[in-house]
Amino acid sequence: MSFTRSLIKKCLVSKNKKYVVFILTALTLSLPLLSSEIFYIDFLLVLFMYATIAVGWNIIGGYTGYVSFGHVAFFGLGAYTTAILLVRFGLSPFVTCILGGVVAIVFALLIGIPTLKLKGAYFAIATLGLGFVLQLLFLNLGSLTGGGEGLSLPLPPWDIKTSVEIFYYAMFIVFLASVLTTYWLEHSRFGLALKCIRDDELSAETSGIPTAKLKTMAFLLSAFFPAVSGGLFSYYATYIDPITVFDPKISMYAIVFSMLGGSGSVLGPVIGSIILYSVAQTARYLITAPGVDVMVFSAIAVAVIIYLPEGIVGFLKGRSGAK
Amino acid sequence: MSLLKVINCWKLFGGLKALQNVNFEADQGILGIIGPNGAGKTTLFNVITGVYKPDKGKVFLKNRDITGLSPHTIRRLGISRTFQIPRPFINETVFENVLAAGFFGRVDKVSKKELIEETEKILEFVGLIDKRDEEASSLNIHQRKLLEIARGLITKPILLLVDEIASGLTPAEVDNVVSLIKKVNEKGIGVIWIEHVMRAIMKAAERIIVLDYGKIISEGSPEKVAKDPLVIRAYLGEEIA
Repeated sequence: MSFTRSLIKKCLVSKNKKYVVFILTALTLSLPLLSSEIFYIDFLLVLFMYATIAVGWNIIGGYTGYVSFGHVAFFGLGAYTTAILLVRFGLSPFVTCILGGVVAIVFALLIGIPTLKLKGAYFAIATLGLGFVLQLLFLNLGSLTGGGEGLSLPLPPWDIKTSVEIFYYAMFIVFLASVLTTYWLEHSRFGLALKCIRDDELSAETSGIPTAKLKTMAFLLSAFFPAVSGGLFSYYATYIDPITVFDPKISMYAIVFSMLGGSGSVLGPVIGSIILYSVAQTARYLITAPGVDVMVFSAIAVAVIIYLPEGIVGFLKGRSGAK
Repeated sequence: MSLLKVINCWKLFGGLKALQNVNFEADQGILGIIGPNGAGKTTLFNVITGVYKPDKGKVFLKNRDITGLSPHTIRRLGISRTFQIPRPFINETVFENVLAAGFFGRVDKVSKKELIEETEKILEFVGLIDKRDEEASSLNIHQRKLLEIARGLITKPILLLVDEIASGLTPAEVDNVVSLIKKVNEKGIGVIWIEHVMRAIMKAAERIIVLDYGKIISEGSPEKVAKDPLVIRAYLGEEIA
């Protein structure tokens, strides 16, 4: 155990980190050239999508300490914004996915101002409703959203393999942008202020930190990336409906991925996503009974909360759960 | 010149009158506030620093009305406070704890480099420089109280509000914080100091205010206050007085 720990530590925590990240990035970029199997590319693409949602969630849930249970709302909002703009106005999803992010930011502002006054479990409960409310709304705004029948998007104008590759790169860019944003956060004044808010909000406020403003900004930032990835997803899937894109499972994924990897760290949500998504998908392919992935996933989640409360990154940094 | 003026302040929590018509002024010296538990001392600090809005009355800092401003604004205008039970940013290092307040709690524009130097100077001043890169969670109670002072000083306050800094410390540690606060005061920073440890406050304060049930019942030099029958009654009960 201690050997693996020191080995992984060498790779991740020391100054070698830069090279490891560089090599992984290069590998990721060249994967479509190395493998002709669409399966693997698709697998990674969806992994990047979940990782982006987890990284976004981590900004408010990990760094700021406000655990949101409704991040799927932003994902779904991004998906629908992009889909509607394509179907009704024919605008390119690669541009409008950013607009989806902007719509999510506006929504997050409206929701954040009242809910961020709540603390702990109350904030979690308030955000839990977000996804469900939007799901109902989009189910019933039939003329705009297609209601329960969903929206079919025009097929991308490329053959399947090219198409998957293009989406793969696009999703990777969004993922990378989210990680770089968190990296900046980790080393900025803004990020330090968020961590102070997480540790002790009253103390942060009396230390001169404008807590209300900064935690709202964190919430907006954390809403943006999931929405952009949602926009890309809608075009990639070529069909969306409120049941799929507002699936509460997506919020849970974001939380558990981050917690396993270590919330409140740059790489935590990424590591958590890679491990848990791979395990869940493998379980799904090995055992073809429905719901197996969710069972495996939940078992891991329980184990993490008991044995690794600080996540993998926290464990590698030598933090125990006890404070 | 008076730094802080509290005029006719009232704070009610439902039927409980936590502050009743409190009036006082604080100048550049050390002003002690004493009183039995639940007298409203910490509430008074919360009203001054903007954590609570007074139901009636005004608070002036150097003739500027600061009533009802947000705590972070009041901090930037020059009032720092320490908490009775220290509230460090537990997962950050000692250095980051102080730096964060420096980044956000100052009105003057300083470069990051200058701020880092000042942070180190202040850690040296309070005696925490050895703990610079340790997480605040590893500090003992004495060190946490020192950290509270350091975090208070980094914003170059006009006034430092100290809330029961001597409670829970050993006699040697009490002497350490008393001399530290005297040194802070010698730098020209006004101090308002709530304290239960009489040995500490009677030595250090020039003037003392006694609160009981939200009212100021006595005011004056430590000697005068200690002999005031009203004060003795508030602490020890009717019969002894």
